[in-house]
Amino acid sequence: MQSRIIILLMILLPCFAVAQQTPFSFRKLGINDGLSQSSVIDIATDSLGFVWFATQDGLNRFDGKEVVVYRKTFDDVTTPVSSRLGKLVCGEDHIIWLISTGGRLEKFNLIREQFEAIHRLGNDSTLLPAVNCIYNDKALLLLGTAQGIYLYHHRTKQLNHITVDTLAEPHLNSNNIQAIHKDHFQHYWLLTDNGITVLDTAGKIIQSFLYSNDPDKTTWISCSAMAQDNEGNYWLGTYGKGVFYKSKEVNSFITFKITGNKQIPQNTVTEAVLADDNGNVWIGTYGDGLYVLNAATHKLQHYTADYNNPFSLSYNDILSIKKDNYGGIWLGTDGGGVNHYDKRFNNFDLLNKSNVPENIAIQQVRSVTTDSSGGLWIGTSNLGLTYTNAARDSFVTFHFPPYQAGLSNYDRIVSLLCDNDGDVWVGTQGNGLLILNHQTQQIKNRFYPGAAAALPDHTIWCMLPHSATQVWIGTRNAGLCLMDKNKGVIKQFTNTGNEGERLPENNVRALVRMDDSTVCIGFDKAGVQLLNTRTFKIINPNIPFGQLAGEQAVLKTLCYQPPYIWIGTLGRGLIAWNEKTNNTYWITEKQGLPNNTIYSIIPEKKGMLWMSTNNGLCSFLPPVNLHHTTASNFSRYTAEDGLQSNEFNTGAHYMSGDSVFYVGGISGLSMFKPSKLLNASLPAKAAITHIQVNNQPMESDTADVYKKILHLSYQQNSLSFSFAALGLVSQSRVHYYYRLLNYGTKWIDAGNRNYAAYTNLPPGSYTMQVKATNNAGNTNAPITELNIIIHPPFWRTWWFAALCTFAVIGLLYALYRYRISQLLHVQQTRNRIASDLHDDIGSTLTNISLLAELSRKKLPPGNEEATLFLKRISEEVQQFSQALDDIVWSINTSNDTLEQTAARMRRYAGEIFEGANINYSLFMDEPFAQHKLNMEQRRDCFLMYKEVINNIYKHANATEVNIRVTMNKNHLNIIIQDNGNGFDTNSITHRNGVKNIRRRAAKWNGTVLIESVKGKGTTVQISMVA
Amino acid sequence: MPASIVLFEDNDRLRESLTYLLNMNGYTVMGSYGQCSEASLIARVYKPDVVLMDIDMPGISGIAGVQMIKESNPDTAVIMYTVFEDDEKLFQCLCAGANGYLLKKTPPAKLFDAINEVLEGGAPMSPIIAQKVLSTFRTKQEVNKYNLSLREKEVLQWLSKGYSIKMIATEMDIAFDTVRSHLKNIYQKLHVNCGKEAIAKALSERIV
Repeated sequence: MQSRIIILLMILLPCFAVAQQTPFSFRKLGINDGLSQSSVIDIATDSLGFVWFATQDGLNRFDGKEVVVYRKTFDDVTTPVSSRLGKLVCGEDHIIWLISTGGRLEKFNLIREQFEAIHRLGNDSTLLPAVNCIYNDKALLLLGTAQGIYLYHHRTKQLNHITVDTLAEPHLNSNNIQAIHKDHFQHYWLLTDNGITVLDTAGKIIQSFLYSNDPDKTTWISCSAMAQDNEGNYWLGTYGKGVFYKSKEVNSFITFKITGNKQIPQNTVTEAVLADDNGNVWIGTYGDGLYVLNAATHKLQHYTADYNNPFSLSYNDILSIKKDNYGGIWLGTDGGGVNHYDKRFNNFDLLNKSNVPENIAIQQVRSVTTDSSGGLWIGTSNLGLTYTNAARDSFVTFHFPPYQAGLSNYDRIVSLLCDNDGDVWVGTQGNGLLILNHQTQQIKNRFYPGAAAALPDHTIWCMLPHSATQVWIGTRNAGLCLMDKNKGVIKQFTNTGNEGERLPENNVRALVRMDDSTVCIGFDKAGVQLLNTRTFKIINPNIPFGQLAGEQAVLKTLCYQPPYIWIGTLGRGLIAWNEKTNNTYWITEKQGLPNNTIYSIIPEKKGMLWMSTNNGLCSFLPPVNLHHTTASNFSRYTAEDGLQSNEFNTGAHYMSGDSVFYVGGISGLSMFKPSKLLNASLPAKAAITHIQVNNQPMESDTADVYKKILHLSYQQNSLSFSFAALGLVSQSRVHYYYRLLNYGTKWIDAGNRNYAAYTNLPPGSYTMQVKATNNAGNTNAPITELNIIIHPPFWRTWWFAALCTFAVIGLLYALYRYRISQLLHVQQTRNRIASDLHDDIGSTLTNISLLAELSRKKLPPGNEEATLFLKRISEEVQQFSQALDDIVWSINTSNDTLEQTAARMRRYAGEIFEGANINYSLFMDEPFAQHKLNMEQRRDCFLMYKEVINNIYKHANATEVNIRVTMNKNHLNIIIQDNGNGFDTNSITHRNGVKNIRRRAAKWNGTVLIESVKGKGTTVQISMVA
Repeated sequence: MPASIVLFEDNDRLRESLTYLLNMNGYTVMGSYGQCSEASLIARVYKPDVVLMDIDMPGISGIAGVQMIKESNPDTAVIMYTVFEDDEKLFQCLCAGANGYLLKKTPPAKLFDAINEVLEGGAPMSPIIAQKVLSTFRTKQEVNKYNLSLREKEVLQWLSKGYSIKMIATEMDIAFDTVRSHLKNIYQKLHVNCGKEAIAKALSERIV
């Protein structure tokens, strides 16, 4: 070694003791996150998974993302010997029991969102005193007060009150009940200010512990909290008397002590004790932080507030410790809000500022490797090289001096490699290559431009072992070199060599081995080429790197997982080249990649790839056809999961022989074993936290989450929903899926957006379904449902339609009946008139006629004049009878057809002309037979006809009469021709007969044409609309 | 021997005038009644040649009266004395066995001719009644053996169109009296087909 030129500046720091076990990492929820106050008195988890916090100034509900506050106050009084704290206990049927300010017992109905104060229980008239503590199960409700214990039997509704004075053996230790615990044997442990009294399942006193009859109370052990661990041992916290322990085999409590120097102080004030499912006992103290004892390892850890560590406990006064449904532990502190621990927070080990000594470089990690003895080497940017031993309990940071004076930024370690001899190769940016002995940590050799063992460049981006002493190094300006750690450069490839040995550019960014004889070289801008390490020939696989990712694309990292070479770029996503098929693929954020800048790609055995990006760490399980890559192929982890930060660095990645993955970034180094990553014990469940109807929150908005069914009117058809994921620890990478059944069946991938909206939903019944997962594409997450029924307006209901139909039918029927009855009425009137004429007038006229005839016969001969008069009477009566007959005929509905009119016309002609010996012919069109004539038409038609016939009979002296009745369209034509006297058509205007004919014809838009020549007969043409 | 006549007419004055007129002209009016509740007895006792029967009368109507008379004395010819010849009631009377009808408006001078004509079998028939007879026989065609002959049907068809007997005789190119005898037969068949069974039986024997 050229020791004369090497000046090593080593800053060795004293050992720093940290517990070997990974320390618990806490997440905080404080007043800035929406909590109503930073003193959290009690905590409870409801059946859905919401976590409730009681504070002095409000009741809080937390869904993992958002806090909802209810107005309710709680006591927060703590003294070294006792305390009075509000309580929250989840009951059945969406009930939370509360002990609010002043020891008031209340029931909170989550669905109705109503508080109900309880002053009495059951049928008992006893007014309850202030309540200290409560325990509720199916059989009993126990209320601990300062005046003894109250036991309420749910079944019998009976209230029992036990005090010190109650006759029992043993008797109650003290009237002041401070806490109640139920053990695995279903026994109730009443914690008093003077030891413990145990009740059996029925509520009978069976045992007493830690009782003191000291009247001064100085030796009394005031008990505050208790838990029973998985093994069945009891852990008891007290006010100022330390922690007690009762093994399940022994029937007494002893002060808890542990081998080793770390102890829980004897005067500790304990406010909360909890035994979790992993064998840990959590002891929350007032003023001394948190103790966690692992029952299996008997290791005690002590957590206190550390303002430098964002993941430490937030406050040293702990008031309550509770479990949630997903294995998480929640701690309420008296001033520091809520601390949340979940084993998923410890998926990633972390080295950062918070857990390494102050002078140790741990930020801006640029390279990492491990050595054969488990030591960890961490290169940083401008802060030197940090080493920590296998136990991670000693740290040292090396700073290497510049190889020549005037060099700035010489402390950037950008590549690290540990060779088979155990020597550590240190590649710097601008300060050459150093080789260290990993045990002595002395520089063995150093290469840089101008040195005896010269290196053509001062920046070494990447290294890849070639043989026991030789390593390929990729430089920034001098291409690729094969270095022997003793001899220096033995082979160099640059952009100026012969064909087959020439590189496309000198800036070599990444190297990865594909097989014994092939190395893949990644260039800064020129894509990748292959090097045969036996023949030293460069092969260009012609990967269209620039075409895929753009001409200016910068390569960041390479990874080989047969048959793919994976290329990570700066801002241009991921490129895959299949060496067998020569196909290439380009995967970017569009295909679900969390970020387009890929700093490192580490292959996991099962075909999985891990990538560090500018948006956290992600795992990628490539699909069979890379073209089908979607978000569901990626799982993302972020700082919320305990990673150093969401931004990582180039070159800062390494997989050790024992499959531990190391990825470094701007704030430190994260370490994990992919196979050991933990998820929640229960699948995360989504909840619908808010519903807005027509852009207005529902009346009782916060109770929405407990609803199973929602009834809305047809006007309430614009809905929006907000969701929360219960049981997921990294809210920023929660993926929500939702759908509204009966509206669509496809799951809608909402990404991290916890909101869905629907507008103008038609009336009907729908089911809103939501699920949440941390892994996009995990379709097995449990589904949360809300049934929504939008009721149709009454005019669109079936019963209304039926009613309308009936109404219309009814109305039509009524109209029909009315019309019929009208017709019947007309008919009845007609019939009555006909009947009256028939009976009375007809008979009377006949009688007149008969009497006239009789008179005529009885007259003595010679009374010619009187005979004439009597004959006139008979004629008048006859005419009147005929007129009457015509009227009766015309009003009879059975004569409505033209056929009937025609028959009467024919008959009339017969009666008149046959008696007068006039020859006549009557022609009638057959087709009009069924044509209808109304009463008026019928009457006018017949009377016109009759007038003409009578005129012929009386005046014409005709011997031949021709009658034609025809129908032309809707005109009725009557032509009557005779061969009689004829008359002067101009001289007849004073006669009524013709006038009447014209008047009647005019009434029906008709015409009357009379042609007559004296001595040659007459033709009358009547035409009318019928 | 003058024909004996019984009158049923509820109009008292008309009845008196008619009785007087008939008696004066050589008929023997054996009785005149304002209602026909005793019609059976009267027919049996007097056995009149002719009964003039009004249709609308208080109590028992002329329709029932026709039946009563025909039941007790089928030989008596019943002539309905009516104002209106197209009345449904008139048709029912004809069905019930009436031999013809006489219109009240018939001038007294022609009254006796009309009675004689009816008695001789020249039964009058209006177009509407002819139509009704036709449709009656159309519906009863299947069950009755006394169907109308083709000739009779033809006569009825002409009648329903308003043709007089004279005109029908001309149209059908047959004698006036042949048309009248067709009409008489039609009446008989009508009685048998539509009247009460007892009368029908009694009357049916006269047809064949």
